[in-house]
Amino acid sequence: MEKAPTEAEFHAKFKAFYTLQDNEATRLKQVRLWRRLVLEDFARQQQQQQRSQGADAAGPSVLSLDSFPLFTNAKLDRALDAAGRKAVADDLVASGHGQWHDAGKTLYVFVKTPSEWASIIYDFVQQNGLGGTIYTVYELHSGDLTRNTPIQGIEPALCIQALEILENQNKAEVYPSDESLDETGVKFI
Amino acid sequence: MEQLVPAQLTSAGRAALEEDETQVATATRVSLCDRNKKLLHECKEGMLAVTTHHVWWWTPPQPGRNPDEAHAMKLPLQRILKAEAHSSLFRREPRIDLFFASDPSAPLLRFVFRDNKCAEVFERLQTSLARKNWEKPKQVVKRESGFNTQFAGVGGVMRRQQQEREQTANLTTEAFSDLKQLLDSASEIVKLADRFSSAISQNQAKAQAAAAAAAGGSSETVERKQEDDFFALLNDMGIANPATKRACGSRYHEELARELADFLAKHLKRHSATGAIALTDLYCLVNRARGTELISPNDLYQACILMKPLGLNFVLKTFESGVSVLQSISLNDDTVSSRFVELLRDQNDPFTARINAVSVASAFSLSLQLALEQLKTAEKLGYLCRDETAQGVDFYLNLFEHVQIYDEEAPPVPPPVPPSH
Repeated sequence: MEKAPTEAEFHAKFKAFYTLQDNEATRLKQVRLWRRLVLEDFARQQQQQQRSQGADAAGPSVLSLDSFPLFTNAKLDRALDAAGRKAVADDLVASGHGQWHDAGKTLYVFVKTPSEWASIIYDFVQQNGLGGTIYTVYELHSGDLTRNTPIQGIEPALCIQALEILENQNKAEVYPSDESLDETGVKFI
Repeated sequence: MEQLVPAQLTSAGRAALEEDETQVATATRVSLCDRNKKLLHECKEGMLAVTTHHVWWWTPPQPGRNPDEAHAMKLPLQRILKAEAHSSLFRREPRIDLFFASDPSAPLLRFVFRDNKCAEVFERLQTSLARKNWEKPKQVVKRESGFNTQFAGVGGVMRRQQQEREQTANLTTEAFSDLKQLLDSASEIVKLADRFSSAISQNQAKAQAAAAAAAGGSSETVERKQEDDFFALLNDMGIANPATKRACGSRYHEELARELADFLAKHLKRHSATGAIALTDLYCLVNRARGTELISPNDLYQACILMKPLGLNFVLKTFESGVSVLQSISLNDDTVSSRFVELLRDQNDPFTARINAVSVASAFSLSLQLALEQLKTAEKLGYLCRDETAQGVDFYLNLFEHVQIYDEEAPPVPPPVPPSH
């Protein structure tokens, strides 16, 4: 079985990577490669942020379809066409790795999907016996509670999605807030 | 019926005429009967053709049936003593009776017509019998045998060439001034064209050998290009027996289809390296070859549609964009696509190896339209992928082919932070 080039090689050297492919099977693979590139890039950004700025200043991971740098490759003189960008964004949303912020223009990117986070959060709750008390989303991402755990720094929007999944599984109750995402409350069962 | 001899059909099911033989009349749905008006075995309603040398009778081969069932026979005209035509008013079965030397009193063979060609066929038959083309000498231009001082030396060579030119000019004037004589001369004209084309190809071979030996001058290439064009023109003049509407009636499109199949079997390789030709190009080629009795685009299209049901070697294919091409059945999309992949693999780096309609059209002698269609087909089959540029579409090897995708992907491991550049 021939080994395929990596997504990095496609991005660096292959002009055809920047045209959304007509052939459906080929397009599927192309979009998946872009997804990997986007997620790797955001994962790297997050790591850098955590390292340099500390846990509190975890800015949201937002991708702007117009200006995301990886969509353009000056050396190849190519830029992913509009249809391609839309396809990549739609794929991120469909796979649980994205949520529209400004529909069609900007997108929250979730390196881990909400269902992955739901498992992580629930495991953490189980291990530390946190059931029964009401916590806010703010406490989850920036409180002492989760210091030095992966949950520290999680995006509020992402966190809420994960909590809603747990609610559907009857593992938590969510209390939405009128004021801000951070004020949303959750009680684990 | 001993006078009839078994005969050969071409691969497309038409009469395989001899070198000098020219077709002068055809009819459909003709039955053969003996002197007692009894139908000869399996000789009901076939194709009839009168030529300068024979009367042909055959049943066109049907696809899917035993080829041995389709039989063809021909009757040398020189065996016929005389012919009579009879048309009865009451039964619509006009016929031609043929008399032979073995029994001058009674017709041994009768052709019974179901279409309305009897009179025309009879007239042409009489003409052919009178002309006795089988007795004519074969050469047109007689060479002087023996040495004659008139033709010695450079002056002599020039005189001889002058004489040949005059003979050729006379031949063409004679031929074109009288249509009847044209029928006679048709086969001779074709032979003349063949002679020219073989002379030119000999010249070409010599010129190529000389160019290979010497450094090769640019004036030679211009000359050679002109010769190439002339050579192509002559080759295309090879059809002396066009299937015409008058001759074939309701079987017109079928006969046309067979004629096209024969023509393409000979000439397609020169016009297309991928064994496919767009209908628009075929229309021009075929009409240029026919010269007169041109066929309409619709006739061409109808004939092409019939190719598959008739079991001929070509099939009409229509692309999504509406472009129609005729392609040889031995050709398939995977073969063509593999050739494109070969072209790409010849370039060094798979990431930058690319082809487009222009490069493919020139590499395989295709029209741009056909080249683009075949490239898109290769893309559809997954051999190629595309890069849309301001100048058009480029096609690359489909490097995406072996990329593995999984339903559940492991979360990405961020690559180590690269050193700042």
